[in-house]
Amino acid sequence: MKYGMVIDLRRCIGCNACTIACKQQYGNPPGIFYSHVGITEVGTYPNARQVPLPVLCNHCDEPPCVDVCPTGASAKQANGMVLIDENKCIGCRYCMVACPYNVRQFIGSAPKGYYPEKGGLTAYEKVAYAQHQVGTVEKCSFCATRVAAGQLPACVLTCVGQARFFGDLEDPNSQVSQLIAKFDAKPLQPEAGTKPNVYYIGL
Amino acid sequence: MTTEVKSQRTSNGVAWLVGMVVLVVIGLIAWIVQLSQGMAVLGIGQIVVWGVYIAAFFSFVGLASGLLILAVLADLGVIPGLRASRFNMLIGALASYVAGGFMILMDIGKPLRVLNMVFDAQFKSPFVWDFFSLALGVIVTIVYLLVAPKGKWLPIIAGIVAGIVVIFEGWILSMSAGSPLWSGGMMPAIFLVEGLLMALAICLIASSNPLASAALRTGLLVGLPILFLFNVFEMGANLYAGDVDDLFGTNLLLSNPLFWLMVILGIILPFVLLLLAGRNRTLLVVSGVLVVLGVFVAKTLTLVTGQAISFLMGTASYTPSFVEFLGVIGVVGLAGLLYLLGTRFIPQKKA
Repeated sequence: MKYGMVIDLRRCIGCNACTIACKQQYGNPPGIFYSHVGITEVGTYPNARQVPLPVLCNHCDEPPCVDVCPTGASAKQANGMVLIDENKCIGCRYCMVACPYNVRQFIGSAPKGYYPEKGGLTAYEKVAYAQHQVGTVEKCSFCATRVAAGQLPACVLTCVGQARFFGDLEDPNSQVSQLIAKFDAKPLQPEAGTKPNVYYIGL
Repeated sequence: MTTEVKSQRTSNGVAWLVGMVVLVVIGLIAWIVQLSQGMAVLGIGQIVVWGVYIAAFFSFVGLASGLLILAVLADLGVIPGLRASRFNMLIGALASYVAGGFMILMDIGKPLRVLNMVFDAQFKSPFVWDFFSLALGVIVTIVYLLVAPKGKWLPIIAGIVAGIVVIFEGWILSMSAGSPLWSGGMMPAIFLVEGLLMALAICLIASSNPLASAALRTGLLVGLPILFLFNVFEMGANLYAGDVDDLFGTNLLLSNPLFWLMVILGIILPFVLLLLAGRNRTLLVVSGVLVVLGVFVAKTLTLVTGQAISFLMGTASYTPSFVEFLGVIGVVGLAGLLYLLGTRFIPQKKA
């Protein structure tokens, strides 16, 4: 079992619904994004164009963040997910420096909330922000708890263009394996040698 | 007359001590502000996550290792006139190692969890190698300080340990897949030369022995071109044969006016001043100060530029905050205070 994701850039409309779903799922404070949509260029001049590029943790097979973590807080699981044990994290941020994709986020201070003018945190923010440990690093977990409960990751479930697919990369009959084979899907920056497990169609 | 000179020295010593205590108090206040308000008071963000705290950490540890290596070279008779200063150099090395460790403590998000580096240590991480080599460096310096070396083995071991510590520092950067600017492999060598240059410069600033000053001046005149060449090798390889990221990062560094200011004021000017200085004490001191500041700025620029290239070829900026600046000042004061107390209270062994 090795979880992975396929993102079909031909279907992505850059609406950021995935970004918002992720933020809602984890109650992420302002400035903290486990998943976001960037912009990249594809093709060569004169046939070049800009396309939205959803970016999240690639749960790499050779994750540099895991190698450099001094306490083992970042670890590769048997199911392929790279997860962070926030109780072990010392907040050195070496993993953030080592990650070629800039997808790790540091909770530097107690979150201020989205509506400071209303006199502090909303009831939702109070509950949501209590889940974040100040001084530690966080990132996308492929929605490990949702997946364990048989659900899809929040970003996959919410994607309005149905551009995201999630499944077992080791199963040749899974939807993700078949999409990768059929459309020659590619990961981001394969030259970094991290062997990412998020693949893109149309990159 | 003798009593007057002694009294003048004592009052100078007290003034230095008070000055360092003031710096430590300033730094302590900055750290308290940081701990109470969180690391949002620092200039770091989500892309550039290591700033002047880490640059200062690298500088302190480089200086400490450089001083330890100089003490070893003095004991082995390689540097004439410097043996009389071995005690001061070793106290300086110890103070600088401790200051470096303190800098890291101030930089991590969960300082109380620092012992996780021991109890949950992951030996694949260059940070863990650095942590344990730094601890070893402190122990070796203490042993070397308290045990007068009679043979050559202790100095040789101390020199090797000092080299290992600073090489591991360089590996922290060069083994990071996320930052192309550091991956050329020269980083440990650059760190070693920078550490030695800082140590030579500090000793030159403090030295009153003409024989030692001449040797230190020669060391700097040799070391500065070596540092310049190592940087040219690193950047030249990136520009000529590097991939898109390497090229982007190197161009970003070369287009920063601060980089050229550092090259001129931190390498070329002190080199010229050292050539012209002869025994002119003022010029020697100015050169030493420029070298120390130049190395610190060079480390900061390399560190920040390496992170500033974000994924998808964007760039992030970093400006140290006032709190961050005061924090570094405080740890400089801590190093100075430890040095003054060490030279006063630690018994000196004759080599």
